[in-house]
Amino acid sequence: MNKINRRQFIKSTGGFVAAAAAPAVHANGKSDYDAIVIGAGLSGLHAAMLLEENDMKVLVLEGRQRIGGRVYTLMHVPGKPEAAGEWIGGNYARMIATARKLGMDFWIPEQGGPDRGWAYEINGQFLSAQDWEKHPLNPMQGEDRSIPPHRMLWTISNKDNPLADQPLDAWLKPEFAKYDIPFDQYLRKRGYNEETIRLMDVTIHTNHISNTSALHELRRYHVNSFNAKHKFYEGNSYAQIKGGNSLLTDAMADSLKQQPLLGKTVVHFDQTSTNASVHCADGTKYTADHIISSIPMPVLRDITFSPRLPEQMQAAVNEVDYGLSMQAHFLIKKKFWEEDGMEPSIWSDRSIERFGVRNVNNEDGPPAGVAFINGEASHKYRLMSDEAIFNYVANELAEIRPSMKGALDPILIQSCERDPHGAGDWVYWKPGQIGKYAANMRERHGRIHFCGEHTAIMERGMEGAFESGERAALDVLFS
Amino acid sequence: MKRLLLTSLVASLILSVGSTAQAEESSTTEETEKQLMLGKRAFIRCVACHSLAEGEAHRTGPNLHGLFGATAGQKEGFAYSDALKNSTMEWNDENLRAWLLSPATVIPGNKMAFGGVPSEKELDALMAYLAEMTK
Repeated sequence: MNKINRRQFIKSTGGFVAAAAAPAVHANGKSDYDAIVIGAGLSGLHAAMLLEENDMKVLVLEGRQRIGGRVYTLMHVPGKPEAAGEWIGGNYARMIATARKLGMDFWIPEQGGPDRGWAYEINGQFLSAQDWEKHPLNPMQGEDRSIPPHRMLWTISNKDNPLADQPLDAWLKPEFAKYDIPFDQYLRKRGYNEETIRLMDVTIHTNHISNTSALHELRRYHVNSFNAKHKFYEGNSYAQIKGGNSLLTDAMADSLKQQPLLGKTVVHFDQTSTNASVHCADGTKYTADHIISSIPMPVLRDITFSPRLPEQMQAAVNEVDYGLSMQAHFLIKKKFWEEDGMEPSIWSDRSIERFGVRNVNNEDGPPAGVAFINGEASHKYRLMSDEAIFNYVANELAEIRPSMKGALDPILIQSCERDPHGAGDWVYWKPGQIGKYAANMRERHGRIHFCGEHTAIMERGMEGAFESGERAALDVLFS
Repeated sequence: MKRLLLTSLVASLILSVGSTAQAEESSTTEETEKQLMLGKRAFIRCVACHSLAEGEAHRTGPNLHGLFGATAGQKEGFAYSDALKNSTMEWNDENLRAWLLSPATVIPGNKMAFGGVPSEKELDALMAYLAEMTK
């Protein structure tokens, strides 16, 4: 079935529902819309598409001046890196189906991914990947010694994972609540030493390895391994949207009958027994039978509800945080790795954390690199100007690796922390929070429904966003 | 395509009711229509992974044509988990209902990422929809 036919097919089956019976819910004359969706990221757009396919009148409001939310391809940076949602896993069924429906292709761009060549700087020593296994700075025992530093977090976290072979929502079962403890404590119990734990902490997205629940980390790697069971692109279990993941969110928005309104920052929600309204910072107000909010928890803290949110939900809004990340993108003027014969990319335990190089052989444009900083190290950059960040990072890199002196030209800074509509990359659960909040994030507040990756219970990341949008749309359709 | 199928289905149901009381006939049809509409909505949970019509391509999950009465994990061209492939389970009414409530409980280690239909009402509708659409 070709692309056009597929679209026509979807439209015609959508039409059947309306023809067969009156929709269960419809604008009751007191509302302008059947549903308003807040947020034009993956979860909001997916919810809006599903509701429109079921003949609802839907309006999408977006705070930013662009579509996509945490899907954001830096189209003008060589190699078109993804600033946020990056890899589409084999198990990302809804995302893959939506991309195919909208005529998108997939690709694996030349940007190395986790298997690119890394050199390491640890405790001030610069070393090559091949020296790691036998190096005195390697803190691990036995076969673990062959795990390179940039793979330690993933590999060790997923080793003998108690969630393995469990259903994806098993992390919410009471029998696993015993792992809702500080992650470093879990690792120590398993016999890992302090230096191993310290190196695992380098690229963790939370502000410290002791402030993330072991259960959250175990779930993260459990879902990742589940993805590997499904191959979908040329025998691979991961890929990206060809040309950049943002093309998908753009196409999803384009497919809507009513285009999302941008620059609509929500400040207040209210509701009566018949409808719900959303108030924006620009003084506008929109009313619908149902509202679906995909607003991340840290942003929701600044938004008021009338009537107020239930106590437990408000507590979750106040306490649940998102991972931190900061990216400094540079153009690479000279191939410094050819000068010193080391791997192009650097993984370091100092505050630049990672410098990943793309287009080593000019595959998709000139070589470019990104200093990708997660967790507490990113706080350091919060109040720096762009110029100060570029200078600081370039100086640090030249200190680690003399061949990098004068090798970099600044392009742009991409910081979650500076984004008033995002406030982080993905939800992370602090020790104890899963038991307290995770199962309740999907509860509706009257006519207001919540979606977003943080409300997903099976999938994570971009597919978690789709899962949550689908669930919220079904909540509306079946209410 | 689907629309025609459903229209003819509803028509054949009307015919099959035959010459019994008019009121009974129309309420049965109405019930069926309503059930299928609900079932179609419930199928939103499934549609990303599963196609229904004969010969349609597998997606993240297998095509479901001819589901009822088939042995689980045997459709050609789909890479099933060993757990499902070796299960010898028959897709009858009882097994399918249990599966749709919690696939991981019925066959542990299978690779269907589905948390389960949340209500009996939705499950009834989905079963009715699947029964018709996979024929």
